[in-house]
Amino acid sequence: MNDKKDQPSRHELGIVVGETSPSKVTFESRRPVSIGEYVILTYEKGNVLGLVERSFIGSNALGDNICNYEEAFESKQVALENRRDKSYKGFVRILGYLDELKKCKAIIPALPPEPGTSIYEATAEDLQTIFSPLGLQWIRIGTLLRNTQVDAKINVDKIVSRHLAILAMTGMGKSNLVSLLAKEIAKINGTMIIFDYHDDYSTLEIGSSMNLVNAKINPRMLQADKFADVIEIKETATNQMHVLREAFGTDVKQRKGEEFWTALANAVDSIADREKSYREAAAKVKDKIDDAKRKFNNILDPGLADPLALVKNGKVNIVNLVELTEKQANITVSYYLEELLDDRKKATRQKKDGGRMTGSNSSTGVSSPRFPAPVLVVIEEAHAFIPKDEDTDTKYFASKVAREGRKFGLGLVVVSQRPRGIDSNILSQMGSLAVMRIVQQDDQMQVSAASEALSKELIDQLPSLNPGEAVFAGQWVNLPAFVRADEVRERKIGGDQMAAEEWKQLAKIKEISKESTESYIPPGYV
Amino acid sequence: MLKEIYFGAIREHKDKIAQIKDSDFGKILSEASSRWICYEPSPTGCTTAGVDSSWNKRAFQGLDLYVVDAAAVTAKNEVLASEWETNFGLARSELLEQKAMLMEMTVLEKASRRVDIVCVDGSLVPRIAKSSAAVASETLKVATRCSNAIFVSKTSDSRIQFANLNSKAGDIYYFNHATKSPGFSRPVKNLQSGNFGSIVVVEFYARIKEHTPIIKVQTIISDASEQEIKKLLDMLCYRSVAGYPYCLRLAHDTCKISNEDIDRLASIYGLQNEPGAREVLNE
Repeated sequence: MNDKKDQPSRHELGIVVGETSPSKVTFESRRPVSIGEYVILTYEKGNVLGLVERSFIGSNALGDNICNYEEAFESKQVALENRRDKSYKGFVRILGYLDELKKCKAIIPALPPEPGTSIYEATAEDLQTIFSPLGLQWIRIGTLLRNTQVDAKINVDKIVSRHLAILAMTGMGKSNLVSLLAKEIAKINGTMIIFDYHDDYSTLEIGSSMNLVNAKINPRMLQADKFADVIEIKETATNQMHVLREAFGTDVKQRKGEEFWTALANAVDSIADREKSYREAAAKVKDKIDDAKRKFNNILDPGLADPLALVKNGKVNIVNLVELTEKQANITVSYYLEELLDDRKKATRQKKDGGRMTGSNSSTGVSSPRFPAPVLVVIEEAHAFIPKDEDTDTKYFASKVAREGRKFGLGLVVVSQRPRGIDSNILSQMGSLAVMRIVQQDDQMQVSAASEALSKELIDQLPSLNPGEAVFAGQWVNLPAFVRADEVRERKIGGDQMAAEEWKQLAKIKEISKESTESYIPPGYV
Repeated sequence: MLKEIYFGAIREHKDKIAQIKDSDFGKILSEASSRWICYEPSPTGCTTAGVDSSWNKRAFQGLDLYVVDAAAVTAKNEVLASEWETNFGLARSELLEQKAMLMEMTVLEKASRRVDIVCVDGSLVPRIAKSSAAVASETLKVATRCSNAIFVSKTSDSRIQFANLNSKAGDIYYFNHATKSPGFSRPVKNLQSGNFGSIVVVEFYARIKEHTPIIKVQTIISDASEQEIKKLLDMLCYRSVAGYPYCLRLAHDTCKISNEDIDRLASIYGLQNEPGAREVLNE
């Protein structure tokens, strides 16, 4: 453990000052220190790794007591000449003995460091083993923010078994991070399903590893109340609900394709004939069904086999929800989650029983699971699908996946720009976090409550992160890390619209077409 | 008690202010204006050092722990000279003050050779007129030897300029109210005599930058002509903040002995368990 022999090669950055504790120290630095820098403290028993969580620069001459510009100007001049004028303070969280961290064990020293302890810059060699371990499960996501020569890797096994939350303001790189995960998971032939609510991922170019699925709903597979949601019958319209419930029976559900709609219409008609008091409601239900058939022609498909059959193993499956209303999308996502969980339970049971992994088991008559290997599901706009103060179908099944997914190899990734809007119970079960820039205090508090791995100091720094920069914490990393995520160039849209440029192009095209039309008009014709 | 004091102030504030701003006030202001020479210093590069001292003590029952120190510090925060003393005993405040003054003279002499101007914090006159003979003679000796030494005060109760006009406040008060522009008052020669002999102290008030507080400058340079004063102000202006030489601020910061410092020292000497004088007051 004692690696004092390599001290001379280290560059002293500063000295510990003030009162210390075993987990936190303050140091006076010889230069400004950046948040997210790693430092080494020398202890009797060996070197200890620390993370700079806060950084301050003070000036004796340019203090808060400056009253006016003139005074500030003069103070600036004298401060420039006074090499003792500036104070560079860093607040360090102690992460553990370096040698133990290299073995993925975080052991905090029992005693605080003495004031006067030297602080050194951590070298790439120190950090490489911790943040860039070897192994199939470790995939590269970017580099450490302040030590760009060190790769930042994350443990994909831990995402699948302990889930992940990606939280940030809009435009800070959430979709880029999901794309990056997709790209890297595709490289190792993993199965991933992204519920794409804003059509952010359809242009992700990862070759044959991608499977684009347009979300469709087979109404025959729905419960009556969910079907009512899909065709936009209001919950408060009790008579219409009654008619639909009565009409949407097993007989109707067994009809496929166009026959389904005809059978449904007939069933509604017969209720109207049978129960006169519901005649008006029945007429409205028929209108709703006609509307839905016309409006949601691309989405509602009674001829569809199991929608889960469209999802492929070993691919990144993008389920495009862009044409669905929020309620329809909710029903779709909840359906997939329910079916996926059942499928993975089946796969796990069969694996335990030593059964075959794929294909139907003709000897037992039990169908084989569609997904014999773990699956990672990404829910974008999580605050809409798993909201805090509302019960939705997706919320129910997402909660089940969050609780049970670990055992059955169904990982959940929730992505949101409004953490305060996500159900806190589900959020707290996300074992890993990628947090980018978050300014709203409510959001910060929710993130803080969701994870013990993020200290208050780290949370305080979230507003200062730039696009693409993130704090990774939890089980998918060995230690909390400030990371700069790689930019996924294989993704074509997702950024802000360039309205001015597009308008300019449009005007140019109009002008060209006008000129070319004029060239066909003979002179003097007009 | 405090409430009565505040009510008293509210009731009597007009009368109290009127004692200062009485019928002679306007006369004195116009006299102060007439003695003011407007001059906007243009900064001239030079090296300056500030000299300051500090003392503090912690009183235990029948025993004082005291510290006295002094330092000469440049505007670049380089400590050119320093002196200190710490001890136990019965330390009267006047005694500590005199020790501090003597230390200031020691560091002044050391620093004087290395810079263009040395600014000593505080008035020269009280050092020679109100201190012990030893302090007065040492001050005169050093001040005479160090021709580049000036004594700079942020405030003053000196009333030699307007006493004949029935002034109630110190001269600096009237100059501050009569003028806003940079410049200086016509130098006044102040003869001081005593056991040490006699000496002429030249004093003037100056404002280095507009709308900043006035400072009082004293020196024993006999030929303190207006031209010399202008040159001096040009040099003082070079590294000053809000009209005050920055080297003096740094000297103050360097030698300041706070209550925390003296408590720490008491702890080093193992006096933390010694009964103090103010414990009965819960302080």
